[in-house]
Amino acid sequence: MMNNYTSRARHKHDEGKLSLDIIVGLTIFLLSFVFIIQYIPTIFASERSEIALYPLAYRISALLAEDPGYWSNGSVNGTDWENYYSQPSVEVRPGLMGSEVNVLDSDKIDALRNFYLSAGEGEIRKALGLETPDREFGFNISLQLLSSDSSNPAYSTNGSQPLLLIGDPIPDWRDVARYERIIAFENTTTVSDISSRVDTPNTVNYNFVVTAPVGSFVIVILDRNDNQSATEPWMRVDVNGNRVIDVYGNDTIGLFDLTTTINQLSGTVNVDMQVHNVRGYVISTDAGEYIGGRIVAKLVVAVW
Amino acid sequence: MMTLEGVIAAVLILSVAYFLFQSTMIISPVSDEVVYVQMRQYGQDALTIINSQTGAEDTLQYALKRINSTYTPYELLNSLEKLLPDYTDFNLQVYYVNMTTNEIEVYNITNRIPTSTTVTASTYLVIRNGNSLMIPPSSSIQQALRVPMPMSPYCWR
Repeated sequence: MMNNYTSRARHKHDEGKLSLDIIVGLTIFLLSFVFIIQYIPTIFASERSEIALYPLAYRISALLAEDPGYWSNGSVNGTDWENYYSQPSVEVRPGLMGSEVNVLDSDKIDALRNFYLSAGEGEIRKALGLETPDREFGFNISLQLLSSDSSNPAYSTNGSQPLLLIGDPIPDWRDVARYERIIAFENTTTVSDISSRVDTPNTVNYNFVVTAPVGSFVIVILDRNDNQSATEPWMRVDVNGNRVIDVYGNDTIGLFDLTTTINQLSGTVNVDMQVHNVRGYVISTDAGEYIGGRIVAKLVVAVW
Repeated sequence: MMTLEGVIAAVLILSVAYFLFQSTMIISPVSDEVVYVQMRQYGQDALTIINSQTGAEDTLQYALKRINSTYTPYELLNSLEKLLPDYTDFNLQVYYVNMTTNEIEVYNITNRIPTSTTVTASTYLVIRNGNSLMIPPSSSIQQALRVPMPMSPYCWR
């Protein structure tokens, strides 16, 4: 009798209770479930937000590299926006293209930099279509050397200032879409520290002083001087007193790239050049590399 | 009564799953396309830059007028290597019309083996009136005055 009572009481005491196993099991399951739901989508790159930003970065790079830009005041319009961006009541869409696609006009590059400095980030954002009713996109637009990358950016410079660097610093705490275009500068002279013409039937000495590293230092000998009576052409070049070029006759005609030689040194570097009966030029620049007869760099557009 | 082994096993499985996913990014076809677009853009831009009329030795115009059995356009290839990112490789091919057979033929300036992740960029090139073209390098001179030539740098990661 007593045993039956105890058994019933114990049974009544256990009713409506969960075992510790179930509680712990449920807790682990729910924690895992929440973790998976939150975490799994982020490991798929297609779900990451920067994928949606790439078309935006591409569009801006195309507008800048493949279009000369546009301005309008309602009654008059044109593509020479660099002459009108500062005037009141003028709508501007910046473009940097010069005479050809991928060849940038130095005046338009200067104008975009000055437009950013005078009108501010908001106006540039609006002009580039980076402002929608529900979002303002961050941006960074720059000209960089071909060897530059996102972890170690090297900007195209003229003197000590970047040729073009506008927008906010690129954040490392959020998704950023980066798109690059390879471009050339239309006017080699305006983006060069040294742009010296070499054209003589006689023997002439030139001295160039540069600070290493340089973006590009090249000697381009196009042909003999027009004076047909002069003797065979030749050229000797010393870098800090060491002979690096010694050519005669037809070997004198061509491109001589001293960039690597100079960049193996540091500080001030003296380039002494002695030429005879040649026609060409010498270019030293930190804006890019001399390729295809022009100075070449990268247009980098980052959007977030 | 729960077992300690069960709890430890659950924690172990979760830890392994976490570290596995932490170190791996699953690339979907959509994001792969983004990479291909940028690579193709590099190729297209590089061809645009070297397809200039400046007369420099590393331009397509200069090189293609001189290609024969003894001339290899090293300057052009060096410039392409500078223009394209370090992580890419490329082939350069010329498609041209053989005026004798009236067939489109291919001349390989480089002959590397493309991978499965190859993209192609091309450009047309016009050889001006009066300039003869010396391809293929068997020295048969093509008397075409205007030759469209798609060029294909293959870039792969």
